[in-house]
Amino acid sequence: MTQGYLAVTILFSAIALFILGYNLPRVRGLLTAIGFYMVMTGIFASYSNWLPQTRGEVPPVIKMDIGAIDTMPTDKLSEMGETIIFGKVGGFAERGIGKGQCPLCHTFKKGDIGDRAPNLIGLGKRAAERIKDPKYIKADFVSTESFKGSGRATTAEEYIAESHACPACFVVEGFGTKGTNDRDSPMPVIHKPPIALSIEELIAVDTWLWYREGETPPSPKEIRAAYEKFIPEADRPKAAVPGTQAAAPPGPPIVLASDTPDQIVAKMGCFACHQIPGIALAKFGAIGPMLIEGYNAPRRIASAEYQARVKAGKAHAKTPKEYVMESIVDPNAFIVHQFAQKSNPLISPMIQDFATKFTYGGLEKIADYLLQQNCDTAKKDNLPGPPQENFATVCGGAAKAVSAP
Amino acid sequence: MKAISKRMRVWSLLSLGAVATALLLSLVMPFFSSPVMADEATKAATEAAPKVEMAKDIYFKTEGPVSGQPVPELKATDYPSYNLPYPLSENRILIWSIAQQHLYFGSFVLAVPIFCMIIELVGLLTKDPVMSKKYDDLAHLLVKISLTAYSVTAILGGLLLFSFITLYPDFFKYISSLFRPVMHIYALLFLAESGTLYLYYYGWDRMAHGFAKWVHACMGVLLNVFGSVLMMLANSWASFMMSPAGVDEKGRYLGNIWAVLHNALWNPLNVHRIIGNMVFGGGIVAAYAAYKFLAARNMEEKAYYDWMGYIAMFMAVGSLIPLPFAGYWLMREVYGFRQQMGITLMGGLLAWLFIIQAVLIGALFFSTNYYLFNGMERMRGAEKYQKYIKYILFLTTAAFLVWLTPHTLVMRPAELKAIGGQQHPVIGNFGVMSAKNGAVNTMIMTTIISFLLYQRSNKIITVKWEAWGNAALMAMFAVALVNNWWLAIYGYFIPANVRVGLSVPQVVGTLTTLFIGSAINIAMMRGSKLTGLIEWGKISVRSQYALFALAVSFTWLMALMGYIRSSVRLFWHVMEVFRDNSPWAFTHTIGFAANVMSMNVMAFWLFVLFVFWLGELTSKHAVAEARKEAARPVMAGGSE
Repeated sequence: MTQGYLAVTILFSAIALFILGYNLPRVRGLLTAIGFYMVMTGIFASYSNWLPQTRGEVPPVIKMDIGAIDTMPTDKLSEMGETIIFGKVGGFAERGIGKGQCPLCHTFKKGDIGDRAPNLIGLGKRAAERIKDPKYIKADFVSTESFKGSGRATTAEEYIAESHACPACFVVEGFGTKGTNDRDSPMPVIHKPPIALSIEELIAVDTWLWYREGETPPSPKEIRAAYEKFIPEADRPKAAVPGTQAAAPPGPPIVLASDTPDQIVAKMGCFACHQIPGIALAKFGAIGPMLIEGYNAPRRIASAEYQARVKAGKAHAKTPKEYVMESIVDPNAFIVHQFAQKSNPLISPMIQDFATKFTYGGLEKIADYLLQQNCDTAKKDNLPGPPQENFATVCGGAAKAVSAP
Repeated sequence: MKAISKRMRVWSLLSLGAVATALLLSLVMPFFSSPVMADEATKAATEAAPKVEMAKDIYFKTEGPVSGQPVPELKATDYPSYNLPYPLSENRILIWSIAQQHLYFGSFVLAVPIFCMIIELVGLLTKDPVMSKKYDDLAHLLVKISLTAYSVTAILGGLLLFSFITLYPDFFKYISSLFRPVMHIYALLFLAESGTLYLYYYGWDRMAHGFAKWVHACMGVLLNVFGSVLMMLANSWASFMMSPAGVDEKGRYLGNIWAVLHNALWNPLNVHRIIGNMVFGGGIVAAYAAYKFLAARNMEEKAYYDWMGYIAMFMAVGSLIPLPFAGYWLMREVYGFRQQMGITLMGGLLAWLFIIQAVLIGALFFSTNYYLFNGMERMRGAEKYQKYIKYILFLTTAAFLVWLTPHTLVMRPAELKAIGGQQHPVIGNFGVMSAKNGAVNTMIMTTIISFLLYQRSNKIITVKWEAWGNAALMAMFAVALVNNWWLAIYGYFIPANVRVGLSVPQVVGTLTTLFIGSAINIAMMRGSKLTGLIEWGKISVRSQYALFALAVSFTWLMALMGYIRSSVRLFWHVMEVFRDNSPWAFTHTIGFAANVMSMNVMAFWLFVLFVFWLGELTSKHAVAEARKEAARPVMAGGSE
């Protein structure tokens, strides 16, 4: 490693200065002092050169050039899609989460089991089969069309586009909102806030879904036509301006103390699973409990199940605030039994890496907010709660709301 | 020195304070135009312009009128280059080196006035006229040294400015469009500081007595006020690049300069730099004194520079104690701003640089202890404490070895296979934070013990409660050390989020030994019999090399931490707003960075040698008197 030579040269130069100083008594002090400085510097430089040497490369810029989408090479379009789904090129291997937030619920690798949403492996082929499925043709779901007159999917790309634009138009068995008999979907509409992917971004996402399995994806024009079929013009979000990065949505990717509760819920995707009073986005989540922690948290801590976890050394909260914070950063500490995964009851279905996505201040902020929520605030927002633990079960009936302790 | 009334002292302080406030307010006032005028301006603007585009501040999340251009999207060809041979072909290496030299000298000239202010004040408050003059002369000499350094700082600042304009024109245009008013204020403050510095230095002899001396001392305060504000303004440019605020996601200025200045990392950086400057300045003065000691031709000179070296070392190490806390705050805010930045620093690309930092900090502790051990040689009666040195050294070395053990080892593939992973089964355990906290607190405590022993080296304690005092000290250190080690071990068995909290009782234990231990030690030394006075100058030559080691470690440490702070932006000029599209936007390897740092360190010390030599040309007569007085032996401990 040639760069290490400089450090060694400094050390040898120091020795040369010592020898010179020994032979030149009049400047010995000066040369020895300089030599000593060089010895010290040389040691530090040598040590630094001995350590592992890694160069930090610059990731390629991925641009959302609306005009170029239709002519962009498939591999580039696929990279853009991977970035939107997983945060960066290569994010699939690292199981990252990008702007699209898809990995919050879906799995993508062979053998991975998703409890909240289907594994998307082989989606292209499956989509082509699904549109012929009698359950799809004779749909019995809360929505039967994306919008009045949109019609149903006739091709694989249209099926995927419809799934994004109208998740409740077809619900895969076992993945519906609990208590709806798989007639409604817990999935958010992808082109609407908070995810709000543009059609161009959705084209990239769909391209990746085919391309990563070595299949030829439909052309961008075909995918665009599919989305335009299911998203009315007024609802189409504007694509990012040319020059901005597709996977770098404005604002910090983590929760800061300066964020509002709405921003925190939007950033972390809490709305996908939870209903939270006072948060406009979080009205439909049905995978996790309704977050009325002013009411729930003290009861959870006092419960025998929680105390058993404390005894086992798995849970540590002593106050409601500690409970809420623990639930976020260590979701496996205690899992409310109605919401445990059948396949793995010891692992919470909740995202496991929130501990790396919250600043302490941000965590306190959302915990404080959730602790202000109770049956009254839930009633005010007419939140039904998830089927596993609905409002009536928790608060004793929608008609007679219970005040927080 | 003629005695003056307390009333006059108060008046002098108040009047100087008023001058400083008035000057600073006049600079700040333009930021706060009156509401009426603002309303009129808004009204006029509304009438004139059909529509004002509003955008959201990326940090403060407030809305503001778009008042500037977005960041330019640069291409590789937008970075003019001199086509110099590698590595100077990278513009950033030139900027890095010039900025580093400017910062080195800037730190020195900001730190020296702080020392001068303190030393002059100590001189003023010292009742012994001989010692009072000795301190005063030392402060005067330090200002003299810093005068040349001040000019060098200004020249390097100009060079840095031209380098930015010529090598990074688009970046500089953008930054100056945001900081335009701040830059002018910076220049005006520089003028004010220069004027005050010259008055302070050239007025030294004319304002040597009575009320005038107090006015002079207050001028030292004013000088430091200007210097600190100057530094804070410059810090805002660097902190903005790391944690932008006051602009929207496209980098457009939103009309509020305070938001741009007061970004997330500004204040932590300000505090960290002020303390860091003091540590660094102390290190340079100590090195200067050490060199002069080695070059001294008679005992008087040796005594003077030995004393000067001790004072400088004491101030540097004293300032070093709060520095980790300021660093912790800065790092906490970095994590708060962008967790990803924190991870890049502590667990990602730049994590190995903190192992180098550990080595440098270890070198600082060893140098300080070694100097104090040698310093005991100046005092008769110190022999009784020298037997403890080997134990202190053992503990410090053991802690140092744990402190620098990395979590993962540098290994060849065959070694990796033999061990079965990157973590060694035994010493790999020392790589975690729990062990590091225990190790660093142990090193701090052994250094405190060295200092307490040094303080009592030439004294026979006569207080009646000596046995109780010693028992209390020993118990305190024993409890603090056992508490520290126990918590370090306990940390292995609990989750990380709980473990983080253990550092608090560890630090509390260490600080207790420092403050309460020093207080007990000083109380015990009251009325003690002297076994001999400190014989300044009678110290080994080796000890002076410990001061050199201290200085070069500080210099390297400053280069390293500056590099870490700057390179954490990775490929961004302004984090996540203004992308660096130059051909050299990647992050160099540690070795390359270390080579540049080493060259910068050596270049700086050659510069310093030149500056000291220049100062030497005229200072020979000025300090002759002081040296004679310095040869007088004094008591050990503290500053005397």
